[in-house]
Amino acid sequence: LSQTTTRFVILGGAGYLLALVLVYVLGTKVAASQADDLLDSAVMQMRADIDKGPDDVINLVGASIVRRFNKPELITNDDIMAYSRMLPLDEICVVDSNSVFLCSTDPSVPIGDKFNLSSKRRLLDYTPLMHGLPNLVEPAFRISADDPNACRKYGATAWSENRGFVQIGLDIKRLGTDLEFYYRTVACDWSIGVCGYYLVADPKTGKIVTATNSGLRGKLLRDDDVAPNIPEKCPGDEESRLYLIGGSKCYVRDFVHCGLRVIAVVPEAEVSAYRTVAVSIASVVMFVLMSAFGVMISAIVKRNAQMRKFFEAERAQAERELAMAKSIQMNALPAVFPPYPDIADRIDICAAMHTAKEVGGDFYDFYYVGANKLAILIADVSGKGVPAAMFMMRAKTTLQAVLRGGGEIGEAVSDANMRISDGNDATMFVTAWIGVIDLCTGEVEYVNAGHNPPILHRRGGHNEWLRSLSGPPLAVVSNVKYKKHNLVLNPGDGIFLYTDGVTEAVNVSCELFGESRLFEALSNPKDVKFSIRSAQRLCEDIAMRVKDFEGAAEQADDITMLAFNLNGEERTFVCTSEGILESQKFLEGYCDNPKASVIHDEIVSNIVRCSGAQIFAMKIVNCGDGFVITYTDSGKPFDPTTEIADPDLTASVESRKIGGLGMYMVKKMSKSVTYRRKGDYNELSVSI
Amino acid sequence: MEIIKNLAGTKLTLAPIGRVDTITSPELEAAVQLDGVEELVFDLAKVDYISSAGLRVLLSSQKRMAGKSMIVANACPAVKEVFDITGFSDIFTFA
Repeated sequence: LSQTTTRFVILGGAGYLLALVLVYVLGTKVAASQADDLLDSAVMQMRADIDKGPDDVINLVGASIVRRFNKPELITNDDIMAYSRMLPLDEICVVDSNSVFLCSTDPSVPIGDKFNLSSKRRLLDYTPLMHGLPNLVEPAFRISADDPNACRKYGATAWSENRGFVQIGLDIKRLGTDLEFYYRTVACDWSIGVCGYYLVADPKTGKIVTATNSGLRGKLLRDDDVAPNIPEKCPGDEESRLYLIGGSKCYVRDFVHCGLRVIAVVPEAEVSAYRTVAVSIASVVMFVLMSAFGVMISAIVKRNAQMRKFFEAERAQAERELAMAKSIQMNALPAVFPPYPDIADRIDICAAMHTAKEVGGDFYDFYYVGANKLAILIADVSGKGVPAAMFMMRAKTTLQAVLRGGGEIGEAVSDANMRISDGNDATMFVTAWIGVIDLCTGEVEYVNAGHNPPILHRRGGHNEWLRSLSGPPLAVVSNVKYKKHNLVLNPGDGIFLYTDGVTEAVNVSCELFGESRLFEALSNPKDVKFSIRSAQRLCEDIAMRVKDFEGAAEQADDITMLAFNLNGEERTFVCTSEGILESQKFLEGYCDNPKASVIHDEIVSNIVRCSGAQIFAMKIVNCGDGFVITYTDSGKPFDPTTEIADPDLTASVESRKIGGLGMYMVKKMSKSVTYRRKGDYNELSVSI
Repeated sequence: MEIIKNLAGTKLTLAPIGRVDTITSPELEAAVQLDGVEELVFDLAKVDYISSAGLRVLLSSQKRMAGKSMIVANACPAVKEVFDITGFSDIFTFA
């Protein structure tokens, strides 16, 4: 998000600047057009005033002549010559009431002649003066009737009572030079906007004729304090331009009209005030907006960072808790093997749980529920994660409580089911196989609550499924009566319990490990000789095969298993034929092997015949790849391994003796024979 | 222990069933009645194993049948191994 923010700030800044530039440019355009408008109207006024200039002069002079002389006949040629010398007039003619020329400054005017049609519109235009019109001015300059080189404006003022009129002609050349006095008067009314002003100059010399600031009169346009960068010659178009005038930037309209160069000026500051205001307002508004936006963004960023931190902390906490849950779960399972060292030779039990990534709900358990009665169980809680782990703990402790309470196993499990179902709002359930083994008799009572069928191993290699079910998984229906089943384990038999993590392990081709592979694996355990299967090796073997099967595929579920084998034990026999027979049966309970039987027979017969003991003890220990049988008797000290000489195997039939042959056979047929005198006992251990 | 006895003229065939050991060999020894027997056959086809007590019976029978015929027949590998280990393979006549 911080990246987004940075991008936003950059974009926002750029937008801000762009907007300001736009406002500035627009403001400039608006200012220019405002200046244009101001100048347009001023120029129009100026042109009109300039055009009107000669008319006023003509009327003014005419009126003054009419006032001075009572009637036209009183005017002499000298009088009008004096006027034309004194004033910038080019032609003065006096006409009497009969339209006859009385005098004229132009020598070509025919004195005494009548104003007539042939005199080129003179009479026609001026006739109204003979009928009461006080004065008139021709609308435009025209070529003089008498002097083709002169372009003049004509006008006339009449004496009252139609006593004649005086015509005055003004040469166009006089404009801008000789009419300076007049324009000074006219131009003083010119105003342009609030601070605008004008300069009127001679187009040829650039000398300022008049100006708003009268101090500039007589200066040149190109003077440094006037308009140093204005062109020498008027460009002659009607464009507004920006020039430096009087030291500040101004919009200027520079034109020549009637021989006057007029420069109308609007200071830029006047029209650009709007722009300045617009830019200022825009910048303030946008600054406020941007600030608000920035504050908002920074708040969001800050909040986001806080949230991220919070979520990370939460996740770390969750992971820690999950790891802890996993560890608590694992710690709740018995993990020391062999669990009961005092009967390690009688039972061989091992369990393993290979957890998947997530914490799951598998568990195994075993504990005494009475004298010589061992409960073993395996279970799988539906679902995964902390809920499954918690439910597992509940199921585990509940089962332990009811099983330890004794009683019939079916009822105990039914009771546990009711307790687990109570308040099971999460609608979780747990499949379980629970068995109670009488370690003396090998009798097993078990309940299968919807769990995968275990595999029963019979001594000698025969395996079978224990498919009997007792009811649905625990916590599904609260008032189920779970039915118990029975079986008897003989020494050498075993039960293999597992969860669906084993059978439902999946390889990369999405195949399941399946029951058949498991059965096959248990029927042909690797590295397990003599049909004796160590529980630990079995668990390791199956785990390895499942792992090999999965290959690169990730372990999806907990792989949990428990192997139980009923092993050898120590028994005591009386030194009689019955005792010998019982000991034979005891031995055969573990290994039905003629070699072992021969060895056993030789040793036991020795003890019974020679030791003088009343009883002897026999301990069979399953070593996985064979047995160690230890014979103990309380007879006189006797080491058969050394005190019995080897027989002569080459003697003739007649001289052959049986003595010593038995011990010789024991030595030859066993892996090793060792004798120890232990206190008052002889102890002979044979490894087969 | 069950022993199948078959006396055909002067030929006695003894076929013990099961193990021949400390407990059972006295029974086998009792069954070896050699009056008028010229030919003795131990049929060991049904014998699981034999211990030195059994060997003693066979050896004493061999001694008693000196100059006559005694045959040990149908010894299974486990029994044959015992004979080999003890050197009795050289003494007995096998069939």
